Amino acid sequence: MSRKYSRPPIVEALCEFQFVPGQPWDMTIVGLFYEKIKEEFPEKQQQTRFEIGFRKKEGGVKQKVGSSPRMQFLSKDKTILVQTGPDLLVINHLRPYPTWHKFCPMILRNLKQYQKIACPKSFKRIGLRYINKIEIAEKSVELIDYFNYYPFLPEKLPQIHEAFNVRVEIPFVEGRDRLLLTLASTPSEKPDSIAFVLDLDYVMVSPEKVEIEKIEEWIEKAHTEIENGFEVCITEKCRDLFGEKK
Amino acid sequence: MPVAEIESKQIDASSSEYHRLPFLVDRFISQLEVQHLLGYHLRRISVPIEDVEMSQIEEELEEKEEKSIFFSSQRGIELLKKYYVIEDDDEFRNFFIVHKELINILLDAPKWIKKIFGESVRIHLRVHADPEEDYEELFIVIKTSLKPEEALNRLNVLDEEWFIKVIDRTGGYLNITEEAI
Repeated sequence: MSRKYSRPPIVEALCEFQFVPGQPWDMTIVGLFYEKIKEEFPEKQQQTRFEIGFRKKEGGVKQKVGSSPRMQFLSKDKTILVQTGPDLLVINHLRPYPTWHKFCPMILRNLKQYQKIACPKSFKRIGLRYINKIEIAEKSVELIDYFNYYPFLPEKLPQIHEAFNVRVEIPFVEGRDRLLLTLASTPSEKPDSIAFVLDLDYVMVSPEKVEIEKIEEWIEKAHTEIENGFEVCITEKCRDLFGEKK
Repeated sequence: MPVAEIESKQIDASSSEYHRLPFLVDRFISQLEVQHLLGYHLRRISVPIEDVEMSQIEEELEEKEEKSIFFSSQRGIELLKKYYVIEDDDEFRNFFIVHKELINILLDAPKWIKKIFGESVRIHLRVHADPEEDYEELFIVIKTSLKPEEALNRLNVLDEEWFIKVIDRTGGYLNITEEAI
């Protein structure tokens, strides 16, 4: 059974779907999608990203500069966002995170609406990600006291270090999925404190290996692996910071 | 083999800054690197031209682009923290994700405030929001030990010398006030 915390360190949970299109993308898809979700996500804003690309051509290189828009729809209190663009759907939940039992249906509900309108063929990539920010009210700490996953420094190097980042990619389901596990230092929000980000991102990296009808099963597995990854990466002392509910 | 190297912006970073870059940099198995700064996506691409098609680059960039709101707003918030005390981080982040356009004004403000209120002044950022009323506004709060009348006079000077010139760019989402320490 999952552990429950009164001060959970989750600063953001997000679920990302990239699709193999079932029809050519057009901008009316975004408008039709917004019609379906606007009661829950009334605020909207457009993000534009710029791209530069190069291609070899006879006698030189051809340059292409373009932009691709992404729409963000926000809940009234701006803690939940739905992002969509060409063959992309992302559902972000900022702090305060509710519970998986509330976040999961929210993901599936928005995915279903997107499917009805965009009719994607299959998934190219799926990701469920939890970003945890852990603040410790001390000027320095022994990482081993708080984490079971941390950088290892050879004995002959000084053992005191400052900023760091460790990341591993752990394969699951014969390499179809991967857990991207990152622990890194980050600026603290409080004086005389230090902070760390523990970022767990479970992704399906092999396109079209999960059928659309099986998404609920995949997403539950992703959540289980993330939850397990989180719990095994932290120590009891770390857990005490979050106020475990017994 | 011919190689195209495109650098849209060089990030000059001290060592400790560099180590924060995992939040900004996604390194992946191809020869592409994506750099995220301030929510904009600056890319350094090193690609053997013989081997790659434009669509491949676009696909990889799309796949690896930062989708987290926390990370894409983090860099801007860190910059602001050099000048301001942010009173409620969560509330400010929720405000900032939809009003990123205020960042230039917010980065410009401290020099004017210090010029008029003095170098030792402390400046806070405070969000006033009421989702039910559909109201939200960011306040730059100048913490000062000046007498109330003098503080008000200087606030008026700040309005005339600076704020009135940028107010059209705030969309009505930014205000300035002073508070006694």
